[in-house]
Amino acid sequence: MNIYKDQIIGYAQNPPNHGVIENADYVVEADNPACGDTLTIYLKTENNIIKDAKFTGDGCAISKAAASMLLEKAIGKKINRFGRREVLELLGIPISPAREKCAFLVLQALDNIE
Amino acid sequence: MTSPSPLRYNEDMDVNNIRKDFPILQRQVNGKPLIYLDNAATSQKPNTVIDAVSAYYKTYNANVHRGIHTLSEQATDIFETTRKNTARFINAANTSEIIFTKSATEGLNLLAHSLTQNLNEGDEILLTEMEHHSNIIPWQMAAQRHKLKLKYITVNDKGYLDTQNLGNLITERTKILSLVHVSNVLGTINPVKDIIKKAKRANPNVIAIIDACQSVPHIKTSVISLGSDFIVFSAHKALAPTGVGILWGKKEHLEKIPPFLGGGSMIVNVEKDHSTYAPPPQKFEAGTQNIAGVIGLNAAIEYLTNIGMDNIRQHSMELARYAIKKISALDFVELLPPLDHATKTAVIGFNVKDVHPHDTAAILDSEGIAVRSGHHCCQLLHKKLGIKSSVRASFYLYNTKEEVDKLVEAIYKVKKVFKQ
Repeated sequence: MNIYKDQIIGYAQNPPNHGVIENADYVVEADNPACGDTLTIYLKTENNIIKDAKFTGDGCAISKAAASMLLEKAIGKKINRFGRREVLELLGIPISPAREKCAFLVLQALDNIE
Repeated sequence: MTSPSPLRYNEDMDVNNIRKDFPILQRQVNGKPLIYLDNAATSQKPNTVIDAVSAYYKTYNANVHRGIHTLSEQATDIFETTRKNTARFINAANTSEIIFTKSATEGLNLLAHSLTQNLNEGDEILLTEMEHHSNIIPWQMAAQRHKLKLKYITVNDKGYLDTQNLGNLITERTKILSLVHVSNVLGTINPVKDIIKKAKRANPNVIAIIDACQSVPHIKTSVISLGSDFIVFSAHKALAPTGVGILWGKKEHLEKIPPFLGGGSMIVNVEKDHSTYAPPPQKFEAGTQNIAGVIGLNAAIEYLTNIGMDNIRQHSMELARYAIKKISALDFVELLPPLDHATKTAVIGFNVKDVHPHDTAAILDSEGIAVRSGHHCCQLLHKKLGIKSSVRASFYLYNTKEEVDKLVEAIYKVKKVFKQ
């Protein structure tokens, strides 16, 4: 089963929401030192609704694609509304136990929002 | 002399035949023949090892050293014969210098515990930047307990230890030098015999320990010749079952240092508030050992000895030479040092540029190729080399040049998938 479908590669290599937000309302990080995946998420919010979301990071394609896709979907939604099911649906590929940490790194970062 | 057929790299070793002895090599992964290149993590097992474990459980399974009944005597006989054969395999002077643990890591924890009991605050332990975490963490724990100082021989960007600094690093406070013979990330064969000689000349009281996990399975090892006081290695990286580690130590040390684990088998006389301990090796083998695993080790040693460690080394060098040649020609791949096949075993570290090692490994897996990605339990080494993680292909006696070719083909596929 090829998990590196064009969509995943596309999001991983040219994520439309890659970058930094100056004066972001929230900046949260997650990393997995075991493999070198890192993720920093920048959020601009209004009344707890996400207005803008961007990320930077040095991780594998799965972690980047998951972050990009989830943050895209997050615009206009409340913070902390997302779980594993959303990520898996967006990725649309089977995620083995070995790659779960990669796929859910974006959730780990969002969990750090106080 | 006829020219060798593709799978025979030297006349005395027929890799074709060897592969038939390893049943797992017949299987497929993702519809492709398995190409197992993760031998630094663990090795595959030949039929004789699998059969030896089976035979133990089928015909003479019993606990050792405890019974007078026939099954126990048979099990004990093979168990102790393995001890003798292990001693011979690494050219140890004495059979009772071989201690069975559950892993090399446990052996290092034993040493970190038992060698540091009487050390003083400020005493020093010397390690290297290319150590596996199992040869770092136990010493950090001991250093915290006894307020010791940890120092490191550095690694240079060529993948070798900066041994010229050794004189400065060894002081009269240095009590222990613990270093790896062959790096599990770079494959570098460190000149441990030389380093130990220099260290002991600077301070004759230094206790030298060699982590031989990646050397004993691949290079003929003589502990007498290496000059160390202890070595550790893992059975499962040498064709034997998991759950068995070997700790070799000089008799005079083993007799003096305290045991690590206490319990049955390692005592002579037990009173309510104190007990006396058995002599080595029993002193260090509390509880029931991995008897089946040790019996498997016996078969593994026999297998390796029959092939010949010199032949295995030749084969490894040829695979390393070939792999380095083919992979270094790929301009989209960064190969980790060293690049001289004569100074390393067939452990090849690399990264496809701008592709995370996880992704490289996943694509290789889709082609049936098993490699490892990450920091390989060597975060310090990766930090020193300035990389987050790497892909590692590690070869053993049953791997072939054709498999190197397939690896290179698959690396091209990574490039294609990521449009590099």
